[in-house]
Amino acid sequence: MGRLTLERAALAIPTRRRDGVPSMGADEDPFTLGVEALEALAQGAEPTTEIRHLKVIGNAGPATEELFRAALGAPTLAVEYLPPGPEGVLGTLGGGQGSRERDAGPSATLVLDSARGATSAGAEKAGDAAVALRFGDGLGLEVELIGRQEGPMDDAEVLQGVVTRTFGGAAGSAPTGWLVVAKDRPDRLLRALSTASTPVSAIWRRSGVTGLGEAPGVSTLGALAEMSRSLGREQSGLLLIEGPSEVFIAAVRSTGPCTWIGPWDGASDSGMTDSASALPDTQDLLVVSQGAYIPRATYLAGVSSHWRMMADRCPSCRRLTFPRRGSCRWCGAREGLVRERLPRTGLRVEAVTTVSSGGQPTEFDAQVSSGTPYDVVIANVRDGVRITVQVTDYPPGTVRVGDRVSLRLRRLYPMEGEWRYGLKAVPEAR
Amino acid sequence: MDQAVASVDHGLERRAIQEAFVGSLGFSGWQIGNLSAVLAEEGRTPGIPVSHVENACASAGFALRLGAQAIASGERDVVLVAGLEKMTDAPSARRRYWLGVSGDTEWERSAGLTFAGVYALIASRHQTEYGTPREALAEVAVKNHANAAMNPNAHFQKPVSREQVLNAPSVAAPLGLLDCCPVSDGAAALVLVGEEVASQYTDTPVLVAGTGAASDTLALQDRESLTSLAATRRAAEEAFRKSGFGRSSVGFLEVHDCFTIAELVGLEDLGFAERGKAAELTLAGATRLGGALPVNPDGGLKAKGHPIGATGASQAYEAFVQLRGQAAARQVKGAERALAHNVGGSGASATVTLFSVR
Repeated sequence: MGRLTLERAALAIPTRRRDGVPSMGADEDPFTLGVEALEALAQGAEPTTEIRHLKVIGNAGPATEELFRAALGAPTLAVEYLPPGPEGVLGTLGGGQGSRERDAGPSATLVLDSARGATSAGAEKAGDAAVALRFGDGLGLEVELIGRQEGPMDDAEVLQGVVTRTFGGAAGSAPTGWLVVAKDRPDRLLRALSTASTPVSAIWRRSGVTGLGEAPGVSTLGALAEMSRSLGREQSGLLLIEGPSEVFIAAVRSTGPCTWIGPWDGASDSGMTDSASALPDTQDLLVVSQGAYIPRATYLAGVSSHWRMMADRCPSCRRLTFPRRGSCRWCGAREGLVRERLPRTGLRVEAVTTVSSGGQPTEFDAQVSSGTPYDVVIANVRDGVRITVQVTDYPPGTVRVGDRVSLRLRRLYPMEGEWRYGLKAVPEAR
Repeated sequence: MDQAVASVDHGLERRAIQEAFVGSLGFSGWQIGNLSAVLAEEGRTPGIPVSHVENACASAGFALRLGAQAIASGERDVVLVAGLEKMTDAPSARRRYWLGVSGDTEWERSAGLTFAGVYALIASRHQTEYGTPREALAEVAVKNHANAAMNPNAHFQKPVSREQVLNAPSVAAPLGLLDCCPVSDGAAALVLVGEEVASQYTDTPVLVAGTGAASDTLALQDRESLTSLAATRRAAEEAFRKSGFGRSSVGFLEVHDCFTIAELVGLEDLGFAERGKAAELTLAGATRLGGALPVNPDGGLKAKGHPIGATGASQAYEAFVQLRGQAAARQVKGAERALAHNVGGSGASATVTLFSVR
């Protein structure tokens, strides 16, 4: 079998909500959300070792190949961009994971759904989310896009035809159930399905992913997540997804458990609504900000530490150098430095301040003038290493000395036509 | 510079000045390069070697040290040390840009901090470790404003109440607007001469009895302690060792109080208060004029003003005036020895200078 199975999927959603669906804050964008999903997919391991080839489906925003390479510490990473929606997702899952990617080494697919910048009606309901997918030869889900049908999909005979074509009517290979993702006509579609003389044992229906809105890419994967939980080993199902003008049909077969990482049931509702502090997306990034200057090349050279918390452990004095600088900051040793990834969760706050208007550097003027002050903390990382980071997602004054925080990659400030990214802190539950 | 030259008791010919050191940040980008030549030109001392010292807020403290070393080495007899900064004519956005350039860009600035924020983090940690009350920070401002009101050269000429300080708008909690030094223009110039030739110029010289200087990491996060500046401790140790003075013999201090918390931490690092006890000392009034150990009789950076490159030289000026008994209303009675403490950034560099009457 040359087919790869979907082994693992990690979902990342913003903590803010607008109209009940996850919504990116001012310092988030498809790139930061995508990196979060890829980090979650790696489950604490270094993502570099996981991924050689990355497919990006959907609204990638400013997420260029260069940024992904930097974020994943993979200088030879190949990034391919595909259009959004069910077709992109199912097509990639079904046919895209062929021998080429296999030869190129471990691959990942990133599905980005973002309402940011969307102008179409109902875009608000789409929500913002990212899912990172890993394929392999192990157990998981095999997905095949087997057809698409323009117009309404409520004809029992047509449906029967799809089933017969797909499963050949052979005993034992019939689908265990249907999963239907329908927006407007679920009842008609379900009625049609129930009258089709197919050996269907269950019909699941849904519209979007609970609590995650109706973003097409993520909804498709949410449907797959639900389906994989319902399918037993070696069982199959049919997935119908209603797109804007057509219905996509995919056959899904489970060869074993697939790991679904993240709040797939939309459970992680922090209840935080988007405040008015959102930075205008139209901010003129071409204006060279009057900020303390770090040349772009230097900035990109430093991302292994600044984005991924990589430090060097000295072989002779055993001490940590962070950020990495090619030599031990304590004894000067250059040979044999061992890269060590520092923790990004459970960091203890040692000092905190709330910066109000007038106390901010000029490159943070837009952030302060658009609403609220912000907290900045010094947090203890490991073995005497500390970092100074801004707090995000929570209102100023939330964090106290002694609290624990996690680190997230976020937008910092615009400079020379693009956003600069770096780590910020999010308080953990007390 | 003109005033400094003119004030020399027995007179000073400009051509007697052999070398000069000038401290300045080059604020707002005004002549950031080759300020030295400008000083020689405008100071009408053409031809002499001048060095521009840029060590952030400690620029003039380091210029003073270099001047003293030039004389101590025997190479020079008469040296001019100056510090200057012109800050108020820059637009506010440009000012806030420049007010951060001496700090750590990689972490602190990128997290959204200026020096107010960095010192606020020091205050936050100090409060956590020692329970330092907010009122003690306010008291530093109250005291220094009261002193400045008696200093005709001070930026602020009015006292402030503790309530005014506590109720001022927050800049970087726990620091409010009145916990921060103002943006000021200023310059100070000092004439340093060798001990053997001093009598040619004055009968009442003030002796530079010992200088100390040190540096530390740029970022607060990389230091062993968040509540103590190692550079200050090392510089003080060196200055006291060289001078042979004991701390109890020092009559008053010029402490680098760019923010109120800095005066408390400075008192502890200089060895005049036990760790965590500077607040107590301050609230008890010991550091007021007339107290057991007056601190910043000129109003300090907090109220006299902090024209960055000039500050270290202006502290030495205050020591000179006070030790000669010429400080009028703000005169510290009976002081024969004084200490000046000048810090660059949030403690990345520091100088400590001890002065005495002969």
